[in-house]
Amino acid sequence: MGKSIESIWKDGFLKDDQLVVPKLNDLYNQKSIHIIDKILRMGKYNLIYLVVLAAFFLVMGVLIGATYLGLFLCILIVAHIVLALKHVKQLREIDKFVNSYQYIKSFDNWLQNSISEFMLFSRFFYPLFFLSFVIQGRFTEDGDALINVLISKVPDTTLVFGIPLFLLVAVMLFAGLLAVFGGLLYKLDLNIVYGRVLRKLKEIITDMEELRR
Amino acid sequence: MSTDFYTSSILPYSGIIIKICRAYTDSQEDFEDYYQEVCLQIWRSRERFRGDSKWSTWIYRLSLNICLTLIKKKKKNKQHYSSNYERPLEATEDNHAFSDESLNLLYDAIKKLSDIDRAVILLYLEEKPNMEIAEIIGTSPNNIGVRINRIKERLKKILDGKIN
Repeated sequence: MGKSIESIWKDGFLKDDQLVVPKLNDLYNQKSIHIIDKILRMGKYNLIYLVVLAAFFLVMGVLIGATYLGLFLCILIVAHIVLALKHVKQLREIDKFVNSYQYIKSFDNWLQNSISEFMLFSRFFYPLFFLSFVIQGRFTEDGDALINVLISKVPDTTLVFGIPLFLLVAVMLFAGLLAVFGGLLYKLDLNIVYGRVLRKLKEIITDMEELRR
Repeated sequence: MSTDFYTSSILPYSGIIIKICRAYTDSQEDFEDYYQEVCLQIWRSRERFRGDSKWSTWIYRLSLNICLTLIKKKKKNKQHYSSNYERPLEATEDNHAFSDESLNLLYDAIKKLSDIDRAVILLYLEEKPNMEIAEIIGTSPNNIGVRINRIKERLKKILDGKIN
């Protein structure tokens, strides 16, 4: 080797055409595509998980002799899947041929709309999920035994359909709380699974808006 | 990113960024992506620059860190999508970025080094003192001196007979 690496470096970069600066345009194009792809991929896995979960509840219900409970839980989850598929259909209607900022904004609008609908759905989902277990429990031997114990402890309690009123009130109160906070529970669940990627999406939109200014 | 910031604070140092990005990419497309990412991150992190070091040193450090992160991500993705991926990142013969043939050969040789050795030699070639290289890389200056000699030997071996 005739030349040292230092001189190759120095001489090489003496020529003017070596350091051509790339143009900075459509800065966030790749980023927005990546983040949306990631969210969609996660959503797809979530849907598959829900299908498996629905089937699991149905099969387990039949196997443990709680067919109605299994069927009801399966229907509840299928309702969740149907709602998700409705939103997937809406997503397909977003115009992909606009610029990346408009696309990511449309995606974010779709996402916020989906989240608010799922929050509303969750206000029914969680109480019904809870109540289905309570109702199933009522018709088991253990459920009977529990009610008998409660009646023996508080013999003067009022019974409604053979259930102590205070127990009924407690169950309805808890179901009511689930209805009130169902949306928040959904958001908590959403944050655990999608939190990081949703924050990233927000960050990108903020940056893009600043860049546009 | 405002045009003002890009023109006054990034563009004068674009040479540094280009040299670093070239060393960590093996295609024009990747190079442009890395360059854009570095510029964006400089812009986003600009308020964290406290003036403890020179602006150029800070840009060096940031550019290297971003390239190292991107290359790590890329390797991880390649491993994820292709279980039998074993090829280390290196330049392809027909993908030369510079008109100077010797420079292309030197870059090809640099790309055969480990990620950290690439960073060290780039800083050395840019005539950064060992102290500054150590500060940017996060190691001791003595270690840097030994490391540079070892890297130069390796580069000489790779380039042996290729450059007149």
